[in-house]
Amino acid sequence: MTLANPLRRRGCAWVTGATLLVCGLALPAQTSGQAVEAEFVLGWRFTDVEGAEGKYRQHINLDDGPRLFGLQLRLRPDSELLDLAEVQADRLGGDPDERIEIQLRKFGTYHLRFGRSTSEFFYEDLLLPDALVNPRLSNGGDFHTFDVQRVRDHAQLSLNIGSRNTFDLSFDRNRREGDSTTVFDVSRDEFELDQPIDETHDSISLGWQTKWRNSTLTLEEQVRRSENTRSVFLPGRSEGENPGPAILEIYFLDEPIDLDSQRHLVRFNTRPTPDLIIESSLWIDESDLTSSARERAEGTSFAGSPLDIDESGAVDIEREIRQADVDLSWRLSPRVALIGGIAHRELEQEARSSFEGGAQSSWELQTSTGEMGLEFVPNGSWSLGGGVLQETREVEHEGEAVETDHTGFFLSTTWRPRERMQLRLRTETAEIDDPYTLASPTDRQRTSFRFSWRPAGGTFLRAQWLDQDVENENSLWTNDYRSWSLRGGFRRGRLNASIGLGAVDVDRRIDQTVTTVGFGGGAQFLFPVDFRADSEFVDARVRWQPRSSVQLFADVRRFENEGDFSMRRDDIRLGLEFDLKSPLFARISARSIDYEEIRFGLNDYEANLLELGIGYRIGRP
Amino acid sequence: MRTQRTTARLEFWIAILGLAALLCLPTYASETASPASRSTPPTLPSWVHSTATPSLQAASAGDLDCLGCHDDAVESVARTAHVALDRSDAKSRWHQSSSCTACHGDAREHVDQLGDAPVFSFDGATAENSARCLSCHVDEHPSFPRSEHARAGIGCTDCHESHPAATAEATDVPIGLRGRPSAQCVECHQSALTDFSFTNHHRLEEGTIECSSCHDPHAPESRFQLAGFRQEPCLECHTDKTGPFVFEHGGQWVEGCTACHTAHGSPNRHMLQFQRVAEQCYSCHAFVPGFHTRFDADTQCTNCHVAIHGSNLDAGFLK
Repeated sequence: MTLANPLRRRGCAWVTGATLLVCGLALPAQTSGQAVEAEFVLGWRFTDVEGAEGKYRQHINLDDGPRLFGLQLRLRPDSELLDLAEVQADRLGGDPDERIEIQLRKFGTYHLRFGRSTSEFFYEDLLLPDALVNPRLSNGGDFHTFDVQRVRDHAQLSLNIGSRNTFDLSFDRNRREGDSTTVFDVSRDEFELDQPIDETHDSISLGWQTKWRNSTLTLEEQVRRSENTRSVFLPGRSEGENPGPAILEIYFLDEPIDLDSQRHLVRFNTRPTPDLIIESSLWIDESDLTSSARERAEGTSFAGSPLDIDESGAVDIEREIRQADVDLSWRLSPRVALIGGIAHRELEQEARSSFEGGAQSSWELQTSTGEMGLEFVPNGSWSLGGGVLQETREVEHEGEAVETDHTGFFLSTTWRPRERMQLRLRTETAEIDDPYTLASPTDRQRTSFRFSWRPAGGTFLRAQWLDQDVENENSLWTNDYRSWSLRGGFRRGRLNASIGLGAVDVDRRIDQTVTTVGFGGGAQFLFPVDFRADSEFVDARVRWQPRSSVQLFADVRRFENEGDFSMRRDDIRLGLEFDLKSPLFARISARSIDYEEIRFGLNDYEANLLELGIGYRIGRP
Repeated sequence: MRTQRTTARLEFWIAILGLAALLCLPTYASETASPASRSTPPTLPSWVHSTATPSLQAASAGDLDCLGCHDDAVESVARTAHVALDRSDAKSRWHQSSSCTACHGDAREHVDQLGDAPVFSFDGATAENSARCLSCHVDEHPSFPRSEHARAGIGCTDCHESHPAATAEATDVPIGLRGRPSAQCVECHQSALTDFSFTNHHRLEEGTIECSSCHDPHAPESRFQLAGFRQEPCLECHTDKTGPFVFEHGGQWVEGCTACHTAHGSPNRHMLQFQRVAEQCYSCHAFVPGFHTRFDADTQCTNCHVAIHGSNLDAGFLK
């Protein structure tokens, strides 16, 4: 995405326009005191990458050039119209993740927010000779590539009308544009095709809330529209990926998709007593998708005969989701609280296609849930909680129904033995009958422990441990996850430092006996699935102000993964900030990233980044 | 796509210089707005007295003289939305008044005894603290008492600060999260932050999303644990993957996106649960067409089954 792209240029116009708007509204503002806080840093980034640049683009993708590294502007004018105006922006000017947020607010009257965020995603296969292809490489054997940008715009207005009513209006737009490649199987051979991406998803929501003394009614309407110009085409004559007579001279598949959805929501909560909250909601979501498809191919088939494909058809899909729930939270006494709820959801989907002879499908899904829990707070140091959940789900598809039952329990306790110290222990267990797939659990056990201590003097210590065992006793599928982390730090005057350690162990297995069916079928083979990832993390952070006008910071991280996919990544950031002639300051930061794939080393890279910036700061310490 | 730098860079610099010029206007560069020493806290601004809401003025100069002893606290509230308490009739259900007593309750005895008699100061049981906040905010967060946070004994004041400090307190968070709401989450959820350190991850530190983009900290974790069609959080951005489709990928459709993907981060491509795609597929699929025997165990299934999230054209997800 070049800077010439209209989206990028509009981003710059956003910042300028937003600042003009904010400043224009705030001009009558009082100029004394703390009414204005602002900080921004402009500068230049230099980048040097050695090794697999494609992998660097996939992971980091920071380029060189001018940047607005950060902008924060906060105005608190003395105005009848405005209490707070704020602009925040990060990494404008060409970075893969840019962000702009603007908010205007009159407390108790209105709240207006605008925002835009962009995100670029790059994924490119490293095409290797057959002898070296290995899916255990980070890209091995995957023919897909992506170079896309996602832009999200949102605007939201919340307006208090009188003392009892609130009106909400929001607009969201998600766009995804770019290039990608894919591989289609045509006439028993694989052909690489271009697939430009052009999607737009818009959503408008209207909400109205009316409050009485003890009750509140909320109405929401949401309308969503999605457009996807899905298109795949052959960029030029191709003989395919495999040896054989199959050749494609022409290929394209156009499948533009329009999806319209509406959601209607009613929510009501009432507080008959100060200790009892009853809330209920009902929502209905209706979706309607239409599409027309056209496929055209010319060439030579796998048998050596002329290949001529010309298919077209229409698609029509309707889906409706209905959900109702009632919940309560009841403080029976200052020490005991009861929670509970029931919910029911139904989903129906009907689809029809006239493409290639036509097809139909239908889905029905019903889920019912009931839960109940109790919280007991014997004193200010302890709290105990427990609960049970019962859920039933029925899935019906093409005349076949699968009913799954889920029963879950949880227990948790929090202990505060002294001020600023907490220990939390939580355990959950679930049993599921008739799961939907072979890799869906029949048993799930999760236990977590957290400890935090922040004694006076600026030190802190945090620890966490999580153990999750999931298995399917029918297929013998297991999915175990264990993690722990430990972090400690201190703050002494102008020195702030911390160090953290962590580890994640993942173990997923199933010895799958695969049966072949249909033409050439009847054989069985064993496919052992045995995935392990043992990851370790170390990081250290330091911020130090040797003088009030100088600040040093460092952030060092190491990540190592062993098991199925061994790799290591070191990420070191160092920075220096010092005051120039007030209110200007300078910032220098350097970053070094060293990425290594242990097994093959074909995607390794080393990147060094240097950022030089001049900053402007007023009203902030 | 990002290959050339064109004259649009000039437009960018014009916009930035314009921004800088605006900020340098004399209107804003008043002597009281000059940068303060990093270690000197700001004094109570005069506008708090002259322009403060009537409730704050009452608190400062009325019969309940909170400001006389608690000027920092009064000033800090003036920086928050609570400053508008007296602009609506939304008085606290705990105490039918506004400003300080709206949260801390009747303080007459506290004032009469020159501070010896206590007021409610939010240092007791978290459930009790939260109940007081919910007396006003129940309309925004009626589900909070049933949320995972509340069940774990975490209250409103564990995350929200009604009296924010004037100076930004240095917190121990990664550089990318400074000043962002997610910094609050990772203070406790260190393991989640660890997950985002994997090479393939949702862009949390990069700023594209926040924790609240997918999680609602004020509501139960999932309305349905088992559910069906659990794609709602993913649907916000990944609409092209969530259909509907004529041919749905049933297991993924029923069990949700997390049946195959790990949402925070993964060492594996596309944030899958497995690096080798065939392992992902054969975890569920115990029946395949006969000619699949010609593919070895390392074959990428999605090189043929490209429309793996669902297709309108082919039951085998080949297009």
